[in-house]
Amino acid sequence: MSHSELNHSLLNVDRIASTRSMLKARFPDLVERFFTESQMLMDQLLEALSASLPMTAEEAEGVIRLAHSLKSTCRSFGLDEAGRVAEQVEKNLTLGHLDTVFADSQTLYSIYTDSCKALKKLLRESGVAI
Amino acid sequence: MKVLLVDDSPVDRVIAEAFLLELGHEVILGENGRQAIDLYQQHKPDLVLMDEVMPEVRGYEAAQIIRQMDGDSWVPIIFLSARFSADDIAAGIDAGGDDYLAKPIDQKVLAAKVKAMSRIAMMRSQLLDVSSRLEVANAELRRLVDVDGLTGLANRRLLDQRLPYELARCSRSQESLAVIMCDIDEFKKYNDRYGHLKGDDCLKMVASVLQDETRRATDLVARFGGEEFCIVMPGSLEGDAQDRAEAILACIRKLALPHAASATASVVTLSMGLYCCVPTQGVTATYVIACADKALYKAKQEGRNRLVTYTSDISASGRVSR
Repeated sequence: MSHSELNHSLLNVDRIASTRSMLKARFPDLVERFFTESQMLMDQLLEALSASLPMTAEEAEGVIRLAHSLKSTCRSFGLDEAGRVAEQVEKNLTLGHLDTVFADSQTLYSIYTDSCKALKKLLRESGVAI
Repeated sequence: MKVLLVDDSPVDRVIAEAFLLELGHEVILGENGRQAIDLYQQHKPDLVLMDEVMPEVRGYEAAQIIRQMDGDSWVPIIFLSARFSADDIAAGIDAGGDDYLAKPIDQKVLAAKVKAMSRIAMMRSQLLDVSSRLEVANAELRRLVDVDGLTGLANRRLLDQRLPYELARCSRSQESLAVIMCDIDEFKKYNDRYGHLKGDDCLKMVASVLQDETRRATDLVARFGGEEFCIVMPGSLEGDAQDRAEAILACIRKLALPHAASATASVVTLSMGLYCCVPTQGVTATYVIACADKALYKAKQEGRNRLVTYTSDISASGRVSR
């Protein structure tokens, strides 16, 4: 798969471009926030899922919220594929399908990491300092 | 519009803020439901855009609290959420939200929804404005319906409403009720001498004395017609009503309004007829006014500028009937 094809399967390039064009000088700051926030949510989600299974209702709600926030943040920034898998994790957690959640989260981590790499490459190529 | 934007995700917040700023709105930012409530109270925004899934206080909960705080007033609330099922939408509307906007936000959809909400808010505000002006106008109309335009006293219409009510009330509680009929002496001559405009001034000054000297909240001073006035004093004994009437007569004399055409005195004077009773069933407003009027007639006969209290010998003349 070429870089361009990879970008298009993981990223919503149009959304990223329109966000950049709207935010103008504030865009690099948003990029930095995105990487910081999404990485933090990803790490917290993985840690929560590996640490405590089975979960109490309260713990489950906290983990669902992490998956939900990661989904929302990824989609808002154009990481649609990572957002889609995060949604899958959120759904399975909500339905109590904990047997598949850990595997889903590993897939999510892999797609999220690839998406971030693709995003960094795309931004560098379009002249955004990161 | 002043928009309160609440989202716990810094990325979503920055993007939504940029959309709103580009659309020309002023934006206040909050990070969770608790801040949403505080900022709402502090800034009184025109629109709230709020994420649903947030730590501490969730969006639905914050919307419920805002609606409770607001009472009758209304500010549109649009929920932002990456969850977009039929149940989520129904729950959001039940919580007091007005619309739902799916994340990631599409700027065109956001602009359209903000425009729609702003239109509804404007129509509501116009409606409230019209209804508040109508309320003021209605209150003024209600007041004017019961007020005599020249003197500002109660008019005949209000007297006709209140007197039967007070009679029934005093009959139930077995309290006495006094009615005083007053007439400005030789007022036709006053008008002929000084003109109708001065006559109107005279009526206003006399009315003002009657109002000032009739101090209890339950008393009613009304313009009966022309230069005649009627005072209704529920709960007043005859002696008290006589004292009040004498005080009014003294005040009118003290006004010293010149009345050169009067054969009674060189100043404007009043004649008064008082009727006082503990009403029994069947004692009508017409009856008590007729009794007071009969006493007034006697006051005129006896030389004016005085008070006459109704007694049974006046009744014997046959001019009063139940």
